[in-house]
Amino acid sequence: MNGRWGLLLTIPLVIAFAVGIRAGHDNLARQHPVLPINFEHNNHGSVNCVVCHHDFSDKSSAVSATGSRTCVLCHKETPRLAVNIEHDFHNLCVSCHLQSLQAFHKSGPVRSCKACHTTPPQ
Amino acid sequence: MFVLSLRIALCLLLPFGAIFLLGAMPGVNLIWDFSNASGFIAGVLFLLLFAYTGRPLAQPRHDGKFFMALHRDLGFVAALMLAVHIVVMLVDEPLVFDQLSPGAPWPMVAGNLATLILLLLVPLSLTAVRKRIWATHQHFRRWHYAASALVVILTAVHMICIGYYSTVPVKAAFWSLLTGLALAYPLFMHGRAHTGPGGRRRHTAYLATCLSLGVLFAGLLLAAVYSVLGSVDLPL
Repeated sequence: MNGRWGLLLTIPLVIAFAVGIRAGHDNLARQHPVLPINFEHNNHGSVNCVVCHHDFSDKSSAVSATGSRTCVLCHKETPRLAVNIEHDFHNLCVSCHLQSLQAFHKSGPVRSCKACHTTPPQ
Repeated sequence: MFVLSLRIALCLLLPFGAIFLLGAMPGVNLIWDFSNASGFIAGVLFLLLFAYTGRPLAQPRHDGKFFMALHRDLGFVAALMLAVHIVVMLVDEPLVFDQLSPGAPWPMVAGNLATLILLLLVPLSLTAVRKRIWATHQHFRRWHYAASALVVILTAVHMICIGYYSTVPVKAAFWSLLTGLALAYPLFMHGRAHTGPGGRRRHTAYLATCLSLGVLFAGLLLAAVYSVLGSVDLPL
């Protein structure tokens, strides 16, 4: 009987611990500063604009709390999106670059951090 | 000894070939590929340590100290390969420091936690230290298994969810299966007698150290060869 009560107490404690960890992690992820990104529009002329600028096709408001319409800032300033910003943007860029690379075409970086995350030349 | 070396070589090469060479991903660059291949080899060695647990096996016919030294030294090699993975990556890409924080993506948090547990696991498992902490060997074994299981589960989460080399569902399933088999191995082999008829060779622990050094050099060489292959355009 004691074992059962112990188990019954352990389950909510484990759940509470997991929820706490998740909330703490999400909070830290939201506070993380945006890294510098050297994105060249000129290199992406062959990509349909709405692949990145999805707000024009899916009619989403795409305006952050501060009224920003730039891709990264809008995602960063929207708490729900800010948690997954790294995954979402890496997935968007890398999946396209990788597809191109695997087809033996010229491609952007697929993994290397410093290849994209550098301060753009003025 | 030859059979044992061959078995360890196969245990390293088969998963490496299945994940890195079948349906190979394009190379990133020399250093990235070397670092990630080193990390993968560390992962394979973690799994291998569940088979070579330090308990004497029927073959090769060496005494107990050989198997203890084999487990300990292969553990050191796995930790060294992990250190190579982390240090080489951090030196080449200082931005990766950013991924060491608790707010990093979950697969990186899993990898960081696995490393932290390993940093505790290795010194606490040394004979001189563990005898002061655990009253019986049974207690130590239970704690050591639980902590090691946590390390390989977190490593599997890191390796599968971080993507790229093991993004394909078949590769993810393969690595999960290997992890499951490794975790189950000591539990099912627990009651099996590892002794056979005849005597055992004594004072052979140095052979286990030599074998582990060989595994370290072979692992580094394998990672280096893979990184070179990944960075050249082969006429395929």
